[in-house]
This record gives sequence, C-alpha cells and structure tokens, in this order.
Amino acid sequence: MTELSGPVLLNGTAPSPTIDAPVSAAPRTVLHSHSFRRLMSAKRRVVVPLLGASLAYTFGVALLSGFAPGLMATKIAGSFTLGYLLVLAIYGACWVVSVAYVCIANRTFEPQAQRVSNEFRGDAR
Amino acid sequence: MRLLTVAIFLVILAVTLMITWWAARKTRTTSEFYAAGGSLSARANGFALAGDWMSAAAFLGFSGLVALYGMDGSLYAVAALAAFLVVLMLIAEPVRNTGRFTFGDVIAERMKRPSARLAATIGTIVVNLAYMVPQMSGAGALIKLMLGVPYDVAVIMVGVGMIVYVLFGGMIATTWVQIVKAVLLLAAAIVLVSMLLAAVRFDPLALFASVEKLYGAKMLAPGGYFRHPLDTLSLFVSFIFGVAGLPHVMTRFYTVPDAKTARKSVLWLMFLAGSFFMVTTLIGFASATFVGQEVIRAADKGGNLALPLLAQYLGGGAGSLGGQIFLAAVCAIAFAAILAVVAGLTLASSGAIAHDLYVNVIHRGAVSEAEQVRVARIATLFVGVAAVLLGLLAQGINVGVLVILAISVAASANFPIIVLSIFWRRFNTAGVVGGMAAGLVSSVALAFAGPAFMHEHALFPIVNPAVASMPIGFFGAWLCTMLSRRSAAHDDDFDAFFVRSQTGLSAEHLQSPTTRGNA
Repeated sequence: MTELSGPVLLNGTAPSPTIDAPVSAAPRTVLHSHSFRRLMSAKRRVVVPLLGASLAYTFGVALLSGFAPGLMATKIAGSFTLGYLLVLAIYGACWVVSVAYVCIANRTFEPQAQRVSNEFRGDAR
Repeated sequence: MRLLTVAIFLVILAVTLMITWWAARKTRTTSEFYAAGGSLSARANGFALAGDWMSAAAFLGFSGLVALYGMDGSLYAVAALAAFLVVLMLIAEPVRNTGRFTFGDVIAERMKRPSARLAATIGTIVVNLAYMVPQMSGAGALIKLMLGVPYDVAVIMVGVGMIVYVLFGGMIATTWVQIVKAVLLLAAAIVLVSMLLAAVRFDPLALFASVEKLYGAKMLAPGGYFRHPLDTLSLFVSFIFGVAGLPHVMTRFYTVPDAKTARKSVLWLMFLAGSFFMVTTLIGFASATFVGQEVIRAADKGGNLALPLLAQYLGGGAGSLGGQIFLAAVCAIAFAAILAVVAGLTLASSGAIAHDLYVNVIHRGAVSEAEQVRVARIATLFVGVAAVLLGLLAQGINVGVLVILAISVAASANFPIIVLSIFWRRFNTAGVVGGMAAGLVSSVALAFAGPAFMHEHALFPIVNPAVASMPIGFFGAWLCTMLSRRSAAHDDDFDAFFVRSQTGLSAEHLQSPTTRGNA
C-alpha cells in the first residue's frame, strides 16, 4: 500500500496543504474530493440523528428503570404497565430505525460510494 | 422418554454432520475456511447471524429470567437486540470493507503494526473463551438432565461436535448449522407462542394479569433482578457496545460479498431475533402462570428450565406422550443452539490464533496458502480441546461471572479500539495497546469484585462493570495515543483506511496504471 506514487490530481482537487509525503497523495485526494465529502456528509446526516435518538431513548428507558421503578410500574391498561409500553417501543424503534437506515443507505450511500469508486478507481476494470 | 430424546438428539446430530460432510468438500482455501468464500446471501447470513445471537442463553435464559423476575428479564432481551443498531450503523460496513477474516485484520489494516494486531488477538481470545466456557457448562448440565449421561461425557460430546463441524466444514458448515438451528428455534417459538396464546384465548394481556395476581405487581416493574439503580444502565451499555466488539459477530460480515449485503443481513437479524426476543416475555409469563415459579426454581435455581417445562405443560403435561415429545424436542433444539454457537466461537478463535498470531504476527504473512489452512485446522483442534478442558473444570462453579466478563471485555476493550480505529485519525498503535490493556484489566477486576462473583461481599456494587470499565478503556486508548508522537505517515495510513472503510476502495484500486508504472 505504501508504494503509491505521484500525486494523482483528479477532478481539479489539490491535495491538502499539510501533505508532505507524496506516496499517499491518492487516498488524501479522495478524502478531500467533492464526491467523497458529499458521501460522508450524507452519512453523518443520517447516522447521527438515527443512532443518537434511538440510543438516547434506549438508555433513557434504562435510567428510568433504575431510578424511577415506581413510574415504570404505573398501570396503563389492566395490568399492562408504562414500563412494558416503553420496552415494546424499543423493539418498535429498533425495527423502524434499522429499516430506515438500510433503505437510505441502499438508495443514497450506495450510488454515491459507487460514484467515488468510479471517479478514482485507477485500474479501470 | 429417554429413548425419544436420544432419537431427536441423534437426528439433529445426523443432519449437522451431513451438512459438515457437504461443506467439507467446498472448503479448500483460507477464504472458504474462515469466511465461506465471502459468497453468502443477505438472507443466509442474516439467519446465521440471528442463530448466533439466539443462543441457548437467550432461548432458555431470557424466558427464565422473565418467569422468575418479570420485567428485568424483558429488559435483558431488548438490550440484546438494540445492540445491533450500533453494529448496523457504525461497525458492519467498515469491518466488511477493511478486513478479511478477523477482528485483528481491521486493526492491522489501520495500524500496520504487528503489536496492534496482537492486542486485537488477545481481545478476541479472552472474549471467546469467556463466552464459550459457560456455553459448554450449560450444555453439560442440559444433556446430563436430558440423557442422564455424566456431565464430563456431555461436555466432551459437545466439544467433539463443534470440533468436527469447524475442522472439516469451516465457516460453510458453521453457517449452515447456525441456519438450521435458527429455523428450528424459530419454529419452536412459533409453536409454543401459538399454543400459549390459545391457552389464554389470544389475549396476551391476560398473562400480564395472571402474573400480577399470582406474584404481585413487582413482576411488571423493573427491580426484580437488579439491586443497584445503575445496573440496568450498565447492562444496556455492556450489551449495546459489547456486541459491536464481539469478534465472532464481526466474522459473520466477512461471509458476504459487499457492504450492501452486510447491511441487509443485519436487517434479517433485527426481525428474526427481534421477534424471538420479544416473545420470550410471553413465554416467561406463561411458564410462571402455568408451571409456577416454585416448580421452575425447583428444576433449576436460575430459571433456565422455564421454557422446557412450559413446553412440557403445553404438550399435555408431565407423563403424557405429547408433553414428552415437546420437552424432548425443545431440549434437543437447545442442544443444537449451544453446538452452533460454540462452533462459531471456535472458528473465530482459531482465526485469531492461526491467521492473526501464527501467520501475521509470528511469520509476518510469509506462509503459503496450503500451510495456512493446515494451521487453521490445528488451531481449531487446539481451541476445541482448551474449551472442553475449561468446561470440565467449570463443573459446579458459578460461571455467570464469565458471561458478564465476555460482554464487558468486548465493550471496554474491543469496542473502543475498533471504533477509534475506524473514526479517529490521531489514534495509533500505542492507543490500541493502551485501550486493550485498560479495558481488559478494568473489566476483569471489576467483574470479579462485583456481585456476580463476590455476592453480598461485593467491593463493586454493579453487576455489569461496563458502565465504569468502558470509559476506562476509552481513556486508556486516548491517553496512550496522546503520549506517543504523531506522524504524517500514520495520518496517511488513516486516510487510506478511512476511504476504504467507507467506500470499499482499497489503496491498490487507487493506483492508476500510469502511476503504478513509475512506482
């Protein structure tokens, strides 16, 4: 991997100014390219809210279980408690979030990653 | 009765051995041995992944916890599922894109240092052995109960089974054994749940009401099993981040051709294992209602036989033919579940020893393909024998602390180093070694100082130490990184790694034909 040579300047993107080792110009060129940055910002926009919200909710239920067991024991329908409703909602959240992520990833990340790949794949196969 | 059970056990063994015989003819290269040639479909890998995760511990353990302690058991099950959100969104694709066979591959691809790979290898072996021993001892106890053979013989039977699967059939056999087991387990769950729902006229809330009437409202609120207010949080932390650090789960992502298939296989797991974990609450409540906590406790203190006893009841009760058939079938499936899970763990451990330690750390990759396959098989034998010996030693010892240790080391040592390797540019080999050491030592110390091992004299009040040991692992990784010098070459390695982990483009692909000429 380290025998990479000569800066590969594609797409008019200059390598970052901190670069001093020309051997690795290629990965850094990709890193700073428009298409790669678009892929990463799309990923961030999806993963941070989806994972953040679902984990915050899940850990919230764990904290309530530890510190407010009385609240969790509140009856909402017959013997069914608020605690069980919140637990059921974790299952719901896992399913909704994972389906949403996989759909978005297949629909947007996949073609964007493909674009990066087509743009920079040196050995056109 | 015993004859019937033996017959069902033998049928399952025969099916899995046929799979192994079929897989053995397709297992020639290292890629086929460790990763089924990377050619599985999302559905096959998803079933196998779900199979890995619906272990006997989940099958018997979660429903038993619910039957005896109520909601805390349900919290256990849901945490085990939520864990896969982290796997899906942060870990699965980068692992698929940067590694070949093991957890160590990912770390080595990033760090380019044998010592970093060695740290990951240690994390793999500790987690896998700590995971395997309770499975072996559980299998020993279960088979002893069902077939009346001594514990030692039972453990050796399981050991021989898993060694044969992995030795001859590698990942292909392990995967298909896992799939067969997942299908059997789900079929059993569907039958049991339909029957128990029919018993309450398809009103699941009736089970909640009966449990409340029989055992009090505390069954429907948290706090039945856990004592410390931080216990639930710590359980969630250890599962949610620990699963992302389980080497045998990572290995499953090498068996598919690309990141897209890796993603889809997690989706299969979400629905298969998710529905299964959800109904463990109904199964637990039904056994508390129909079988009774007294009887469940009398059969096994930990409640692990709640599900088999419920199956017996639903089949027609003890002594009836239907009851016997149900009990035998459920126990045989639990046995298959244990065999499949230990086979997966054996394979991941032999990868760590043969591929990471022998081939890459000791011989720096200079080992021929044929030799690598041979070494992988020797390592399998070695791991299998070690697991059997440890399983024999574990007889009569409370191995519960090891389960906690396995998931805790995964969350506190393996998870920090893999997530920092993937996302933090400054992270380096010193950080990998520091994170591994800090996470490992703090997990072991706190798990053994905690209630699972020291009971009422515990020095550390929380059962799962991850809530404390994971931050310690991250801190160790950060501190050792910052204490060592930053190098430009190392940053470049990160750039190449990051591009590859996010797009699948490796540095070799980036070389254009012209630049390659003047290299």
